Parts: sequence; structure tokens; C-alpha cells
Amino acid sequence: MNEDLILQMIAELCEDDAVLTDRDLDLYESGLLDSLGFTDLLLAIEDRFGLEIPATSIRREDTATPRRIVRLVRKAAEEREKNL
Amino acid sequence: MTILEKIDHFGNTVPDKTAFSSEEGAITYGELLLYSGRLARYLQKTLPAPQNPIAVYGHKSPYMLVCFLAAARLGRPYVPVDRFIPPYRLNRILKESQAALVLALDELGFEHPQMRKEEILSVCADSAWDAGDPFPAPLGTDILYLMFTSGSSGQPKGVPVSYSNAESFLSWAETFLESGEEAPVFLNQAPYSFDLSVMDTYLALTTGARVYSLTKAVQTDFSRLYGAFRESGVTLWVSTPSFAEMCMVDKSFCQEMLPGLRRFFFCGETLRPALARALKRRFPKAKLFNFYGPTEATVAVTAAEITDKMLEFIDALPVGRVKPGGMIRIVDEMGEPLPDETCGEIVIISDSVARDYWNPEKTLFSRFRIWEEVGVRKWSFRTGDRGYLKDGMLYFCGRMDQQIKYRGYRVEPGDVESNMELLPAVQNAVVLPRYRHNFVVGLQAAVTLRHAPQPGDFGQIAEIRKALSQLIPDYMVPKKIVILDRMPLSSNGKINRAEVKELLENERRSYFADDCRVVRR
Repeated sequence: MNEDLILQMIAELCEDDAVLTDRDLDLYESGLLDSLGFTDLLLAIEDRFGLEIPATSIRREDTATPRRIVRLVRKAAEEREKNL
Repeated sequence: MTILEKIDHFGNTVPDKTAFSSEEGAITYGELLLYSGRLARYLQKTLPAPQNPIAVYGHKSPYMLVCFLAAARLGRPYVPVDRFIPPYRLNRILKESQAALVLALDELGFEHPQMRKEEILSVCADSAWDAGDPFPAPLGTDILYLMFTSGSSGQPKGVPVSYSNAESFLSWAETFLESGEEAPVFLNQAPYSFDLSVMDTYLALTTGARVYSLTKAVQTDFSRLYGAFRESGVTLWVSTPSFAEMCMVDKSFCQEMLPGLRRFFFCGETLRPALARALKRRFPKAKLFNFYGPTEATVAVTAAEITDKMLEFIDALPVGRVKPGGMIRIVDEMGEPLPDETCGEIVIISDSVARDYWNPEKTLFSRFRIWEEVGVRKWSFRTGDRGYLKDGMLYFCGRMDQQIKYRGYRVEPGDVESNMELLPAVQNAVVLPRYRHNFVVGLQAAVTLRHAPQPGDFGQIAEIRKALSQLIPDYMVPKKIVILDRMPLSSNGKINRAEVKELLENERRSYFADDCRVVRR
């Protein structure tokens, strides 16, 4: 899955391009995402990529940086491929 | 019966019934009665005579309630302060309230007359403090609690709510409860420094229900949150719409997760029709109620059940009809009443309106005054909210000034700005809300620095945010901060907020590592 697409989605959600340059930026520490932002993220992933990631199946740390989010989305996409 | 009498009644008749539980512990009605009495007698002996308020600092420990009731028995106002309020702000609240003492259930982190958690627990466990004369009943005009809200000058504003104010609210709110419920359990989500908590906790304690309280830790961890809902047995849900919105993200959040849930009470911010519709689909057995009211009028003064019919035909949901005995008037700039379906300022006339702020503003135009009309003479409060009436239903249209509601919390931009200007690096700050689809999703700020902008200023943004979180709670710290080389001014020499707004809208980013673009005008 195209990493750029995933990063673009994160940048739009955070309303900040910094996520495009710093893959290890902690989105919660920096205040770009809060608990509501976390839910927006899961909704955006579902909207954009059709991937349903249940909130209970992941820990918040798994979504803390752009790098981790990319990993999460790719993994979910692979799971879906396997189940097809 | 007064509030205390109602709560004590359950302490005497069903002492072993759980009154409150959270991750921090549980307490029965009997223990509440016993411990608050012991703590009150101890405080009576140790505190000097003047009836100064008692601050209670902590989060969701059952001892928060013990402390509130102990202060109430002494006839002293309590000042609830949640641990998310940083020490600097807490200190300002303590000075402003002239609190005699802090009952510190959490570590205070600075010097102040206080009673530590171990001491509080030890007094509560000591039966020697049971002996003594009964406490005199408080008067209706005595202050039950002092709730601090965001003040535009940066100094938190204290709203004193009296026993008669609180009783006026509670006896009305009670009429919305489901009658004949066997095991009522009320959800508490709001921290105790937010008066939304009065709607769940006092309503529970005065009707013998159980409070199921969520700590911040549980609220921010989905794997624990849904587990908590499953085991809670919640029958009445009280929260801000934002919190419910957040819970909706997982499809398992539905009637099956909360089988006993029959009513939702929402207050604090606009309830969007989309959320209401979605909740009704997920919780077919539950009714939804929308409440409205400022802290100055004790939690809420209007309410409406949100029915399927309303959702079919209406774009914006009403905030409801005023409580019996109260009145809503819509007025123009001169304070003259306007006709139905005309937008103007919402004025609340009710027994639940507070007398004035704790430290009344020295102004000719106090928001509090006596309202006189045919056969009516009551205290009124000019809310600064815009709205209109239609067939007795009130509709909310927004704020007349810059005040922001974010996640149900009141935020005065001036409050955030003046705190930002306290920082050594910051010269001026302008704070505005960030919107997404017409909904406030956070705060943004434009700042000028004391020194001339340097390429290395990128690091400043994170520093500014960090320093700011030492002064104000997290939700008030702007997410997006843009550095300007100077503030746009209007012809009268004042900062042009509209232009700042435009500048912020065009700047998508804050400034982070590796890049710093300072906007040049």
C-alpha cells in the first residue's frame, strides 16, 4: 500500500504537513492528536482505505507516530488480502 | 428534605449500598455518612472560625465525595479542583477563593495549608470523631460549591452556587429520570471541577442510585473503556456529546454492551443531529435528552427529549423548554425583549441563578440582576449566548463574544492569550478556535516573539506548548501555533483578529523540527 497516501491522510487529519517530514513525530505528545483525534484517525482509515480497525484491537501507542500508523494500515490491508 | 438530608437518608436506611465506584475505589452510603461526619468534626476543631471555602483536589477517588459533604456539613463552600488543573492555575484558584485549606487527595506539588490523603483517610477511619453535636442545617443562601470557569483576563472566575440554587436544579432534573428503576446506575464522565458532574453525582446521591465513575485513564484507553461499560450496569448516561461521539468509533458500542441503558443526558455543548440519530440506532431502548444552561445558572435550565420526529424535521436540535418556575427571555442590545423566532441574547430568570460571581466584576453592567415582570421578581443572568424561542422551545445559535466551547469546556481566548503572554518568549498572542465541519476541534494561536524571529525558532513552538501546559489545562493549549513577525493591526491600532484568522487559515502547519517559516506581512 502506498505510503504517501497514508501520510497524506495523516497530514490532513492533523492539519499539519510536519507529519510528512518527520516519521517519528509523536502525534500525541505534540498535541496534533488527542483522544478524539484517535477516533477520527480510525474513521479516516475506514473512509479512505475501506479498512475497519476496531478501536479495542489496538493500543494508542500503535498510532503514536506516522511510521507506526503506516505499519498499522499496511498490516490491516495485508490481513484483508489474506481473507479474500 | 434538603440535599444533605436526602443523602443522609440513604446512609441511614441502606448503609451497605454502594454509592460510588471508580477505578480509584468504591464507597457505600453508610461510609459516606460516617466519614463525612468524622472529617467535618475534625475540620471544625482544626480550622479557624471564618467560614472560608475548602478546596478539594483530586480526581475520581470516592473520598472526593466525602470531602465535599464534610465541607457542606460545616456550612463552608467546597471548591472542587481536578488534578488536570496545573499547580499554577490551582494556586490562582486558591487565592481567588481564599480557601482556608486544601483537602489534597492527590499530591499538591507546592506549599499550601493542606491535609494529605493519608491524614484524611486516617480521620475517616477514626470513630473518636463520631462524638459531637449535630451540625446546624445550612441556609438556602449558603454556598454549596464554588466552581471556577475560564475568565477572559486569565484569572479563573468563581461561580458560587447556593443550596437553594442546587435544590432548584436537582428537583427539576429528577423529573427526567426513569421512574421505578430497580438498580439505577448513573455514569459519571465529567471531572468534579466541571458542573456537569453535579447532574450525575448529586442526582444519584439524592435518589439513592449508584455512581459509576470513569477516570481519565479509562476514558483514554479504549480497551479498558469498553470493558468498563460492559461491567457497569449503567442505566443513565450523563456526558458531553463529544465523549459519546468518541465512544461511537467502535461498532461494539451499542445496546448489547450497555443493556440496561435507558436514558442519555447531554449538556455542555451542541448536540448534533447526526450523533443523536446514530445513538438512537445503536441504543433502540434509550431516550435522549438535551440540556442547556451556563454554570452561572447551576448546570442547566432547559431540557428537551430528542424524539425521532424532531430528528426527521429539524436541522438544529432545540435545547428545550425552561424548567417550571423559570423563564427565558430573548433580548436585544438594549435589553428589551424580542418576539418569538427572533435571534437575540438569552436571559435566564430562575431560582437556580447564582447571586453574582465570587469576586464580582467591577462593572456597571453586571450580568446578574433582578428581573421584574408581571407577578415575577427573580434573579436573572444575561448569558452572552445567542438564541431564539419558538413555541416555548429554546434554540441555541452560538456565542455573542469570543468565548469558545471545546469538548463542553468553556474557554475564553483571553484566558489562553494572557497565559501565553506570561511566557518569556511570547510578546503577543491571539487565540482562535479551529473548526472542522462547523465543529470546534481545538484551538490555534498566532504569536509574536519578544525577540526578532530567527531560523531556529522552530524549537520554540514545542517549548511554548510545554511551558503553557504548566499554566493551563491540556484542552486549553493550542495545537497549532504560528509565529508572525508582527500582528496585523486595524486602523484604531488594535490587533485585527479577523486578519489573524485569515492568516491562520492559510497556514496549514505549526512549526516543527527542520523547518521554520515565519509569515512575512
